[in-house]
Amino acid sequence: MFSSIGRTVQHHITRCINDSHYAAKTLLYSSIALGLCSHVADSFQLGKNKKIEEDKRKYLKYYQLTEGFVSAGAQAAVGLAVIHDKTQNFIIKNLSKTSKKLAKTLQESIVKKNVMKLSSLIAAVVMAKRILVPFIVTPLASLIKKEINPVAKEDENRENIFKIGKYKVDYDHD
Amino acid sequence: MLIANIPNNYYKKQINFGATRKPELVKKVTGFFIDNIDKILKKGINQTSSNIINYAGRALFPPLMILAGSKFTHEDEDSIKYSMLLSPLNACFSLITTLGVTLIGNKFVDKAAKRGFLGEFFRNNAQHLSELKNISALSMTFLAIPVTAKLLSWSLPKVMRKIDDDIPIPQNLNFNIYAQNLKPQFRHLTGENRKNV
Repeated sequence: MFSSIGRTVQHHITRCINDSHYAAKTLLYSSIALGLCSHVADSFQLGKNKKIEEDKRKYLKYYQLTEGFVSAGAQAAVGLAVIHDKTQNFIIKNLSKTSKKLAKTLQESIVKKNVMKLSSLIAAVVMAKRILVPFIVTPLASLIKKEINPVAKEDENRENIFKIGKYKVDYDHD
Repeated sequence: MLIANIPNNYYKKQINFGATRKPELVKKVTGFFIDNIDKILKKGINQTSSNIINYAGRALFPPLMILAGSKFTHEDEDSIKYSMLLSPLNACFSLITTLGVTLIGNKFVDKAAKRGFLGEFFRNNAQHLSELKNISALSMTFLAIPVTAKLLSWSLPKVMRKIDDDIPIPQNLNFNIYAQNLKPQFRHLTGENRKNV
């Protein structure tokens, strides 16, 4: 059992050191999985929290869920496009034009690997996940919330009788 | 006589001050960035650095983009304020928890490698050890996710009420409203003080 796990870990590590595409893809997939897990956990915890009002709680819940799934797709698409050889060659060409120092260092294989990692992370995690996705998700989450939870339900009114705050009675205070 | 004491280069220095200094400053700034980029690219990019990029992006950009996207919805202003606050708060908490947890994991890995628990593959190879630390950091950040989610759901309404006083307390928990709507004769039966009402 432990020996098989050790072998797979050793195989993964040797492949990460030798293959630059594999190393960049592991970072990308790990960031996708982390983002999805954190968004689902946040939506689960916010859905339970009764210190926030019902409408806002539901909106936050569906906002987190939609952001998690949409960002996972967007990250995968953008990140895999950036890791491709043609885009990498384009990036290295343009970077080497800026200064002679950078052009020298960019010829090393370790630096090329790190450029691939960093460019994929910046494009996928910052540009796609944090700039594009929130702009799309804010209207989308309210649409999903309205479709899943239509506003007026007759059954809820029975429960609301006990919430006296909704039916304010105007007694004469002193 | 006073004019004669002033050195000849005085005015020239004053005039040339702005003209010569600016390109030096620009060169210094660009050189500083290029040197640092070289250092970063030679050193390597770990799981922790990718986490820091992720949290920095999460703290800075989403509130602005939510403001831009809120024009296309008819959602309440308060719920959009909540969603704007959500991402930077989550970034702060997750940065603290993951950095703390990964430091513990790295120390544990180093000690285990020195004593020889991990085998000969990791004993004297820094490259293999650094890749193993990436795996440990990933697993530890997965473990830290539920803690950050609980911290976020605990802190979000408190922070929101400090920023905006107008946001109402939900009606399920507010027992004072129950006391408010009773007749003053029966108000003492609820157990609430009158000052709180």
